[in-house]
Amino acid sequence: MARKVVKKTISKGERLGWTPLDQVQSVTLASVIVKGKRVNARRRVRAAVQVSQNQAFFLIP
Amino acid sequence: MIFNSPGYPLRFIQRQLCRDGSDHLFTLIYKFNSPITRYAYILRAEYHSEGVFALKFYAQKDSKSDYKYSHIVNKGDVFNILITCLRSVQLILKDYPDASFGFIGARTIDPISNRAEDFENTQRFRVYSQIVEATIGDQTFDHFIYESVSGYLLVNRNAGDIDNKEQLIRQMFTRTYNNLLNI
Repeated sequence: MARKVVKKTISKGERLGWTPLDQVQSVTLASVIVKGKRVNARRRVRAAVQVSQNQAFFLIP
Repeated sequence: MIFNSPGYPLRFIQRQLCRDGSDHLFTLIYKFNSPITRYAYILRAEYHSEGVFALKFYAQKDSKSDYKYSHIVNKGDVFNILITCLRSVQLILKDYPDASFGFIGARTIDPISNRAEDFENTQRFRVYSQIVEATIGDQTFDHFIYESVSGYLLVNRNAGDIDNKEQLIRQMFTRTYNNLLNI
């Protein structure tokens, strides 16, 4: 009889190296560099073209 | 990817004043149902000084949970739910035509391993950004992203000086949510 293989399922959090909840630290927004980046117009046009090909629409122009 | 899901009707529940002395002044609360997941969802549009609404939503069943914004329901119907949330922007603009809107892609919590996603460039942020870019044009709003905190901002073009408005909104949120990234 073949040996039974026991597969250990690794959860997403473990696989991606997420932080254990008891080690999550409080981080203030003021301590993080928050720098805005304008969404690239070309990226938006690309997304809109893709959407228009599927006959979708802008919810808000 | 097709983003032409119709979404669901939003029902206005109440306007809730916020008296904590912060820049958060009041909240518009809406509710909608998904026939696919069979859950009710609460959408909160939190109005702040500088004329900006912060959009947040969660499944009503999780309303008492500290992790309600981080919980993965995993029942599908994502695009209808997200389009419904974006429809709140249409509704709110009728009464607040100069309003700007912002949201954060919350960190996901893996309940199996009890681990939390990093706050930079979260999976929610990546999905929300793609949908917003495809469904909201650039005539009404100028779009800004903040990958370091998984934030997205739609600055209303009625604001005039967009760059100045963006800076004021960013400073206001930094002042108001100084503990945003703690789950």
